[in-house]
Amino acid sequence: MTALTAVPDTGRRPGAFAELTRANARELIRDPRSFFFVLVFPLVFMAMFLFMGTLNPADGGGGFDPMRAGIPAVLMMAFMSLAFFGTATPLISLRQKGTLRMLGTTPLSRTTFILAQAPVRFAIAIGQLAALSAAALATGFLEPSAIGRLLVTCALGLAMLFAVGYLVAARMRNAELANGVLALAMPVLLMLSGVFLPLDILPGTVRAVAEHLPTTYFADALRQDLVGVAGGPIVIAWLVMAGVAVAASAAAVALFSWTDGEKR
Amino acid sequence: MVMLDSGKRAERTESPASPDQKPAIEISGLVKAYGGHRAVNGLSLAIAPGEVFGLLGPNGAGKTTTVECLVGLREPTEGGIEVLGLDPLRDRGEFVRQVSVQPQEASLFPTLTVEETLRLWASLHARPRAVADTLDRIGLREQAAVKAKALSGGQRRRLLLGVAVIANPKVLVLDEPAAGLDPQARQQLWDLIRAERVEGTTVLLTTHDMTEATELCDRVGIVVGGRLVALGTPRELVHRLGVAHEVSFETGADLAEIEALDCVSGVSVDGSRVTVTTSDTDEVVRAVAGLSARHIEVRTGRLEDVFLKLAAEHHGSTAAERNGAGR
Repeated sequence: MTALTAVPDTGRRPGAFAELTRANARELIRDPRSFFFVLVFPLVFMAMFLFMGTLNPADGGGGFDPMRAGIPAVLMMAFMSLAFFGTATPLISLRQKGTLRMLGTTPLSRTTFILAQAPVRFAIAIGQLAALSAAALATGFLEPSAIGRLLVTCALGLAMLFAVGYLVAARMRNAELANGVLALAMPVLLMLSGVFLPLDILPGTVRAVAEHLPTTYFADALRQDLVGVAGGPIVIAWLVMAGVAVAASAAAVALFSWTDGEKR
Repeated sequence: MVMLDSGKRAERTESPASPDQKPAIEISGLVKAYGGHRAVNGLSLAIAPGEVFGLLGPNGAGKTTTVECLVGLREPTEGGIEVLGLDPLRDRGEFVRQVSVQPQEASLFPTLTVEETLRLWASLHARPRAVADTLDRIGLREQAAVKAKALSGGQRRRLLLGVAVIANPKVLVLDEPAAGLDPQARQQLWDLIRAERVEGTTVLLTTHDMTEATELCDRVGIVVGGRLVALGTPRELVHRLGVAHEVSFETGADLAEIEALDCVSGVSVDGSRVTVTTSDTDEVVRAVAGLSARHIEVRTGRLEDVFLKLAAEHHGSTAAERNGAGR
């Protein structure tokens, strides 16, 4: 017989937000695909950059320091994985399987449902940020005085990526298609944001587009705060990220559908 | 699992809604069109509080579309729907507090256990049933710690029903609740629905299983081609629509007396086995008793016969309408 800790008939019960937050944490950790992309994948890349650092030390690499390039790149990739594969794809999968449809027939509001996705994902993001900040501090790239700015940059960057993730998930019904599109979009965005390669090497038109991508502002701010690389005005980067976060969030809430676009 | 004596179900023989009693569910002139195709075409019905009502029909008859409009998952093209006096779309906030739905196709969070799933769904409602009680109702107490993705098809459907009933709703809408269940699981599901009825919940279920409709439903409506073509208790429909009964027996005697009965519409003989088609089995049995007949069997008309008859009739008329419209 299974031991039950049943919901009591009387007394205080956990609210929908708390239960959904718990359910989201369980789903994220227990689902092998989400677990891999959100928690394992960034660690593999971090290990790769660490390994490259041992092969090609900063003083003998023609000015290229794998750790200096790798720390912001891995953090951005980790945040993107969390927003795309850890948030958008599972939501689309729930719609595809009819789970959202069932939730749409309950008193649960769309706002509560969407907000309840955030706590576990922000907790994971804080863990990732802590690990990579520790690495940046240990290597001397991150000045303790820059930690406050770094937190603001990461909060705005995360909010922007999550909002875009929710927007992608607002209507799509095919998780496999979404996974394919996002798996293609993520490396392209990372490349065009200049986290792996300098934007100077891109052709003129592509470079002009890349320089104006919101993710480029995020990458630029991360590089400045995390590993001390000079860049553009940080306030402009913050404003761009905040603007995209607000616009994409508003669009996601307005467009979000439990089912296939009809009422509710 | 809640066990009830199915034989104790009192069948309603009269229209369940008294004139001064407001129906729990009222659908009037419902039309749902997709492009030029009307999946539901002017369907109207009223379901009384506490009634178990079955919406029957062949695949593609419009049952699921009707249910989806009824619970606010689709917007009707025309017509009105009220459940407990609430519009499914305009009064959404109150509607979802009173009405629970088990869709035909849905899967729950795959990595959550049965108990976690019920706990989550309980948290969405103001006055839910206890999780332990619901586990007993759906017969999944032993599977409380099993993840949803590891459940069998029947167990998964029971869990779907569990998340619908844990809301403690006043109206329960079930779309093909027993589809794909083995006989034992189906019987358990029926017991659960009967328990809901005893507690006064109004239940609307769709099915194409005639046994299910006969066993569970106070009244049934038969839908063909998006239209309600018959409405009544299962017994009323069998009687009203003149579905034939059969009495068969073995005899070597002369059948002239049987053939002369007004209630007999046909007699067929296969060797010594005689089959009489009649509207009154009692009268035929009394007459057969005088023929030294052996191995007498009576097969009364069933809801299935009504269904097949209506489906065949209306399929023909729907096809004719389509052809007419096409000309």
